[in-house]
Amino acid sequence: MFSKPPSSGGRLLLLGGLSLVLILVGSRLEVLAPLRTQLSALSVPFYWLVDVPARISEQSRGMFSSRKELIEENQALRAESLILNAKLQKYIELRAENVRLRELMNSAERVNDTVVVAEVIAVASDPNRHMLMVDKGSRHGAFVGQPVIDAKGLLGQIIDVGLMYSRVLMIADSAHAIPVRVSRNGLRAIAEGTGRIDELNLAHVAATTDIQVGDLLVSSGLGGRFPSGYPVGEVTQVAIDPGKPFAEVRARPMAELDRSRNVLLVFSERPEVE
Amino acid sequence: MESTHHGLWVIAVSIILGLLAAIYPLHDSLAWSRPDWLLLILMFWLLAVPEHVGIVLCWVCGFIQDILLGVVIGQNAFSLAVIAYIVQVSYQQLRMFSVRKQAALIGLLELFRILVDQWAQNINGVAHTHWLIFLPTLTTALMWLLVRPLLSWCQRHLMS
Repeated sequence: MFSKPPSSGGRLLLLGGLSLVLILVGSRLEVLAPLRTQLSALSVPFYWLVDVPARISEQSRGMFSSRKELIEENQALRAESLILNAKLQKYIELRAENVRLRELMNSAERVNDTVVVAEVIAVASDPNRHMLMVDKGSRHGAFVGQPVIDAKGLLGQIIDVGLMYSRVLMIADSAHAIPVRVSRNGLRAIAEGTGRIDELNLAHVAATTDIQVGDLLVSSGLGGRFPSGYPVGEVTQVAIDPGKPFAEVRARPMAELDRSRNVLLVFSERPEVE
Repeated sequence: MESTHHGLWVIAVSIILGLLAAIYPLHDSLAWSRPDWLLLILMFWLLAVPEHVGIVLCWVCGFIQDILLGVVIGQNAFSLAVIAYIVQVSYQQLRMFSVRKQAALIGLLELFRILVDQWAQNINGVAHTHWLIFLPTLTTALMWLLVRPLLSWCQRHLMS
């Protein structure tokens, strides 16, 4: 009872050393990538269990929502669908025109991206990180680096794929950066996450650049990871300090990072750049 | 010998609950102050039954936590293994501490865990952090005042 277990120092050296090596090189070694995928399957039952209360409350709400509420919701959805369909008519015409113009200019036709709806089943518990778990994995064709969007704009990319679940790194996470351009004048920049859910930072924007509050930032497609043209953010603050070489430009993500329950995984036709 | 292995399921269940509490979604205002349940639960068993809970188990729990949270693999495993070692070489003195003194010590160990987490994430690309990340130091220490009596009740009534 009071005897110390043997060689606890040796165990610490072994396991501590192993975990230090994992911290330092674990995410850089490609050899370990399949192992990580296998291990992430371990988290599935845990996330299933944690999601149980949310599922129960959602189901009971569905069961007890009144007929009146359902009718109201139905009407609202019908109205929205009508408006969207009206907009779509114009869009089809514009799309045809766009293709004709592109043909005239001899530039390649833009491919249509297809999307798959995924449900968010968990968010990162560390408030300093901005990650999601979604219920689509390699079985549904998800892959590492796949862009993820919601109804309003670009949300992030997949960084970890399991069989049934994947992990999405959102654009506001401070480990994330995305090439963007200002839709007004085509100016290129890099939008970095700041760790705050409602803020992006534009890196290395020269102080003399033409950029204004309210400018829309769209993905530029440079770097080959994100398809071009998806809304990323809106410039909220431009501070030019004559003493500094770069302007300080802040933007607000267009996608509802803290709200989306359903997200879309984008399958682009273009070849993936590794 | 039968009796020493009787009731080990209590340890297993408490550890699984601790892991679930680490990923349970909390509202934004509460998320910063989430206590480190896994550390609290492992600390209790390290002090109470050092012959069953040791460095290897703590390392495995930390490893599972790393996978669950999707953080840098090894960061929680490392800090929990070091903490398990510290407790294992000195549990006879630590048992004699008053509850408050133990709580203060756990706050200190939690600070160590947060610093290891930050270091591991910084060298893997996470640049900005908020000072509120240190808040669990306080909440974890406070929760020890609750977790210790609760788990010792479990130990007395469910494991004997």
